[in-house]
Amino acid sequence: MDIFAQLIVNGFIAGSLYALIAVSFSLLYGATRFFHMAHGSFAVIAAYVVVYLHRTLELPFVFSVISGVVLSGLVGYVLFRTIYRPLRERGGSPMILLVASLGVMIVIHSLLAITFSSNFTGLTKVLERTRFELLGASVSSHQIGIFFVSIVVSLLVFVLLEKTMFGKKIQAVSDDEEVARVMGINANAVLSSVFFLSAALAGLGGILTGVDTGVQPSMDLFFLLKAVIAAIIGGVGNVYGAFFAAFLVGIVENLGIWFIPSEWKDSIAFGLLILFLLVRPNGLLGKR
Amino acid sequence: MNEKAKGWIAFIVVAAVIVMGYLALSTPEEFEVGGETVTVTIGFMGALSGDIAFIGENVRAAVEVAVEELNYNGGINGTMVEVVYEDSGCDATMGASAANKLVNIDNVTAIIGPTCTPAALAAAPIAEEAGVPMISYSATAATISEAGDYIFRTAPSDAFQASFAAEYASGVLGAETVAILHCLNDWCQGNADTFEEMFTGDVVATESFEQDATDLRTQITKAQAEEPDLVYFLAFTSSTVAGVQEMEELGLLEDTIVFGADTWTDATVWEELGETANGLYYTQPTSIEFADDFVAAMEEKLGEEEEVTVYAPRGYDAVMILAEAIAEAGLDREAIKNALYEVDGHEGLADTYSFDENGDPSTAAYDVLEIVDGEPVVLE
Repeated sequence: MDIFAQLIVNGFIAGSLYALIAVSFSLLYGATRFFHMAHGSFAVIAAYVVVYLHRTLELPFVFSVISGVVLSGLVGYVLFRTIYRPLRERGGSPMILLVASLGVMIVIHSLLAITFSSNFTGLTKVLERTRFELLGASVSSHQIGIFFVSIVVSLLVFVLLEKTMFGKKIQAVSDDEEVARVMGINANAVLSSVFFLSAALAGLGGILTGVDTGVQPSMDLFFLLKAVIAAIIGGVGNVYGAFFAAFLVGIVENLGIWFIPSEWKDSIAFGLLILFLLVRPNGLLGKR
Repeated sequence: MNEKAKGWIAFIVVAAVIVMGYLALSTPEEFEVGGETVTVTIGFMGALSGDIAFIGENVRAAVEVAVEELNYNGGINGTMVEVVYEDSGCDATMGASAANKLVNIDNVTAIIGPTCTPAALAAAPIAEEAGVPMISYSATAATISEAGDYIFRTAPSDAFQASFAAEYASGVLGAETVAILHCLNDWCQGNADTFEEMFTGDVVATESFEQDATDLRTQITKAQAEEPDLVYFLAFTSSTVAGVQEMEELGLLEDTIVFGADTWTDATVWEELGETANGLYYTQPTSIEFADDFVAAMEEKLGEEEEVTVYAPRGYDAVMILAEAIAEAGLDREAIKNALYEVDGHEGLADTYSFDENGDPSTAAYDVLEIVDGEPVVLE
């Protein structure tokens, strides 16, 4: 087994898990200009929906995944309509929205912990996987699946943004909400859809992570932090940047602890963030 | 809303918070026994949430069983026993705040608990300073021996567990090279250090990870690169489940023995892993076979689904030992502490206890379990 190849593979797997959450976070930030602390919660919600439907009720896997994604999307939509939009309309600054989203995160975390207990749960049974050798490294069938789902879905999001009318509207609102309204775009409708989409994407990311290792309610902060790091490194509000940065973070993290003691793994991502903020504050691809 | 209304609302909210706080913290009712209103209040600290909740909840039930039995038989010298339950999780912050509450607000006579080493090491100075005897039923790290004069435990120190594992690994399993994979908290670190000290072969790699980390791939890859005969894997439930799955993916389970410690008494680990875990080993403190009526009482409390962990009877035993000490010494905490040191050959449910000068049980015996067909089996 080639160590270096294994580490690269590990890095790509980690990156593909971060990618969806980072892209969705960037999408949301770009459109709404506020730092949504409860973003990681969407990931955890979707994962737990799958746990409940697939493991407890024994419904088919694909159906459970779709339900999880849709449900977390709906949660995002509802949160926007009931909490964030009213606050924005009353002139709430991004700071206020951030605090509100912190409250949301805590509530969701507690509800999940009460319903499902704080314990760690896996989404699929281990034995269903098969192992492959790839250029000297071991990968499982699940990991290959996760990687492809992540890439394909991210590409679909990019196509949506560039090629569809809806995508153009999102870009317009992200650019300048006031002007977009003046031009006749229903900004609130666009934002509601962005919340739904962003939450659904994050949900999918959470499900994939759950499939890979497992979930527990306290992972909401973990998802959020990785998403934020990748989003900032990629260029705030830039979904393409977030996508590449997610992989960069995943790879650097895994290669990094080859050279330094493994207890420092978590600090590698943050170290990378600090480095970028010092050297290239606009991120990999800069602001859109 | 005008200013005056806002002012009233603020006042009502503050008043409500104060009233609720008072009601929540006020001392519990006292029993009338023979004209005197005295109760013995004991504090219980356990991991009622988080990864180690399987032990905490289990022992809580055992303590309830013990206290009910005591009260049914008339209490301690005619005085009823009451317990205040606090969640110490498995971390230092929760352990310290639970200890603070029990010692300073509830004014307990003694504390049973906590479950976990990190919580115990945080709670010990608080108990020690206040002179409140503390008996843990499952905090096993070696460093607890030095935690204080008032600190006892009915579970043997990990100094024994890790040495036992080291001896077993080289003596019975024939391992010459070992990689240690451990989490970053006092319990894992203590065992890792002791193992490294006591192992007669070579420790070729030592990798670590955060207590609740689930992506251990690179750590496993690094350990694998050194081609050890055995991996000593010290982790709590989440990391274990994720880690073993990752080991399987990376092909480590094919040619390397994986050996763990008593955190793996959590049945959830084996439920999640199933057949993947076949061939894994771990240690746990040896127990006398559980008395039937104890098991029946536990089943009543927890339902038949829940297994009785090896620590539940030790929690029960801790309560009984404490009760004896109080019966002898009265409610003076220092006298209770001294009486505890006098305990010699107390026959409990799980073991026969005598405390040494550090407040640890003077003997320690361990079982090795192997996973066969997805279930842990005690090896003879």
